[in-house]
Amino acid sequence: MISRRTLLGAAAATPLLSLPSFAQGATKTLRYVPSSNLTILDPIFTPAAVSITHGYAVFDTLYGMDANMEPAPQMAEGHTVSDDGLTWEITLRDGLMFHDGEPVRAQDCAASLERWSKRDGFGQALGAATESFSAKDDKTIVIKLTRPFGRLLHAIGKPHSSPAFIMPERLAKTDISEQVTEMVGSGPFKFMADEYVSGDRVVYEKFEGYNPRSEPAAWTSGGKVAHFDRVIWNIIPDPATAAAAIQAGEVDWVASILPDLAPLIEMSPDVELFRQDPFGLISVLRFNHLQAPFDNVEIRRAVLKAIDQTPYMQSVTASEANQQQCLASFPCGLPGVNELGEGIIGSLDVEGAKQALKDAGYNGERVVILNPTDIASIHPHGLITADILTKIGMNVDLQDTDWGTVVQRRVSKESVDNGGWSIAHTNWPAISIDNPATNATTRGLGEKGWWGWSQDEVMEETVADWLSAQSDEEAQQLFDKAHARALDQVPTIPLGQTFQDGAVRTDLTGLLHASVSLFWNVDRA
Amino acid sequence: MSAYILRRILSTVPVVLFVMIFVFSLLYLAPGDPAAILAGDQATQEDIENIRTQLGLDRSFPVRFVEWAGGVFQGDFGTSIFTREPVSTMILQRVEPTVSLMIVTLIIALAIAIPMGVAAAWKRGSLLDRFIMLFAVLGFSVPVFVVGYVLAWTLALKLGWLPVQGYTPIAEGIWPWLRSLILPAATLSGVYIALIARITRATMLEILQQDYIRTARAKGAAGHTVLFIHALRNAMVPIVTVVGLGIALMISGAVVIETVFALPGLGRLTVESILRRDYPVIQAVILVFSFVYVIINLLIDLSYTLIDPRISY
Repeated sequence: MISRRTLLGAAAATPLLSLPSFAQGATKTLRYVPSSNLTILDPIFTPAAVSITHGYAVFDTLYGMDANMEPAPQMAEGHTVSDDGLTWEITLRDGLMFHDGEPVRAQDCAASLERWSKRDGFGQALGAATESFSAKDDKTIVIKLTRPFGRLLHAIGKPHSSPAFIMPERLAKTDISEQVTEMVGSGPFKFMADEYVSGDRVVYEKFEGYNPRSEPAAWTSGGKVAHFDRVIWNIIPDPATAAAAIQAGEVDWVASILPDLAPLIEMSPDVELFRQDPFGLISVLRFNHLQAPFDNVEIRRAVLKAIDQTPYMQSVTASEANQQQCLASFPCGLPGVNELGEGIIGSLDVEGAKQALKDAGYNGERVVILNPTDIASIHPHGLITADILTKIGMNVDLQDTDWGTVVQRRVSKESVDNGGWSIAHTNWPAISIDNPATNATTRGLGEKGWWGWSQDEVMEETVADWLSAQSDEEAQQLFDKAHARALDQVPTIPLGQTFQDGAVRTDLTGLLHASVSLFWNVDRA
Repeated sequence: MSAYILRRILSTVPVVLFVMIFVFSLLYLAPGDPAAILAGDQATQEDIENIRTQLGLDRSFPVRFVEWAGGVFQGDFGTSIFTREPVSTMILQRVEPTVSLMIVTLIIALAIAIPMGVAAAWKRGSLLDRFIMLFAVLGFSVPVFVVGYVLAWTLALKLGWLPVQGYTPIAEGIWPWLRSLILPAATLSGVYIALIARITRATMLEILQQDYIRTARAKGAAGHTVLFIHALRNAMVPIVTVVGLGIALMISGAVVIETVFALPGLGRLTVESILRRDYPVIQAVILVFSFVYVIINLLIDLSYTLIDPRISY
């Protein structure tokens, strides 16, 4: 029979039994809170930032992007281009291995590039100019083009929204409409599938077989040296709880801090704010080009006249340091982007807009604004736009709903009387729309393109020319031409650039700037 | 008794069937498209259509329902549209935190509420009674997330006694497990303490007026014997009923608490699945909840026979 004393003794000993052993204590662990839950593991299947963050831990890319946004060899040793610019050969460097122990072969890379080129916007542009992705031997990837594609390394080295991650051929053969669920990469961390609980935790372990480059790490290029044995993601859905957790020392790194909570972090002695992505987010107002009234370019121009970026940015963050007016259709601060929209964007000319609307023949058509109430960074945009459009005399129907419904309805091409829409807002990581090919907000692919379906043959010809450009000067000229065209046709209205801070414990060193969190190079002081 | 239990268990079949049809129809009619959410912001119409076809979302209502219902009767709840994991695995991963939260909450609530209710009834009209009733009003009125933030700020962040967030499985030790649950359970228990204390007080007040209580006192029974043996036992039937209803309410309360304290439970799984339109998960979780609710009601009905020998089935 168990006596009361025995039971109490056992209960008192229980906490001791649960203490980690010294061996466990030697394991160096980084605790990280992503900005959202990781539900889709395949980083090619989705452009979601959290999946890309996961992708960079597990997978590697042939080329990375350096701090100047120029492609730099990563898995590649180097490359050669034929004189006619139609055949590219990329050689793999030595010592590359997948987490299952198999060597990385050119066949794996060719299959991965082929799958990626069916999903990603930049990849699709490359795919359209490609005859084949193949392997000459185990170390040499051959890309045969049908026309020159001067931006090829920028495409396969792109750092955001479905980078061209390399997977084993058997996984890369998966149909692009299906997710790859087995996570075998050749990156610096292994995904621990048996410890993964979606909505709770994601665990990575340092891949001992990873062979980092010797160059210093910068953005997604250089030596990816892992200093932590384990990286554990804690999914904390509530921003206030995440902020409290890092202040209490329960986690080391919170990817995004609610702007309202930033002052609390600034007051904490052991925690500091960290702006991961120096280029931030671009908010946009997207027109439906298939339906009246925004099938009329003059009406889109009239609306542009009335827009002021300031209230939109203020609705995302109160901190002026986290707002940047950007009078351009491309994100300011990125290579090749000139602020060509001065005098066109942000003029806040309500009276001029009213007159322009009248001159354009606006006939009182109902303007349906889809407005997701559950996305804090987008919801106020709908309210501001509704107010502006009402002031200039438009017949506004602001429809509040949830994000899931907005995502469904915005792909409807029907008229507003049949469940269609006129305006929707969203935001993009600036880096993901940094050139004429990747910027879906300015492309003119029509019904085959991004929702809103802007059709613009001139723009598409300019994009094709930019992709084929053989010199930087020519490329810049074409970039500006595409930019000017976007400002003229107003497929989308840019609403300003905002920046999101994360928080890190002050004992962390070596954090890298990028559009997503990177776990190599980070160490504890 | 066995026949009664069997009859009650069999009666869950039409309930579950109704829930299946209702939930499936509701989700079918509800706006939102998981294929569009999955495809992301850059996706074209063609991408979305391909994903929809791949997931079988383009098939008709009867075909999808028959396939899903057939799977459920074989114990297969399907695969999550988003994570591509079996739904049963996802649910099993989330059961422990929610059940743990509910058990600890219930223990805290009962341990505090019943003595409070009894004391308030015993000292009716006194300062103690008023204080307890004031607490009960506060318990009902203050939203659980406010209580949660205040407790987390004081006990976890300022005093460092307890973790701010997260769940430690019981397999990692009783104390770490309990430590991770004290704050969320204390937060969630507030409203149940209020509810159970009020019911206990009201029922006890009624019982304490009964003739047999006066008889017990006249026989010279001690005050605590009268209160806990004669009165409380007879007051237990309505209290147990409220506790049973409270468990159902607790499931909805768990959604908020699991979010505030980052507990990976079924409540959060439900909300996350609804927001992203992960139909197989939503359907399975609602089925599980409805089944659990039916079983809890059965257990409560059966517990009446233990509390009051005059009740039999």
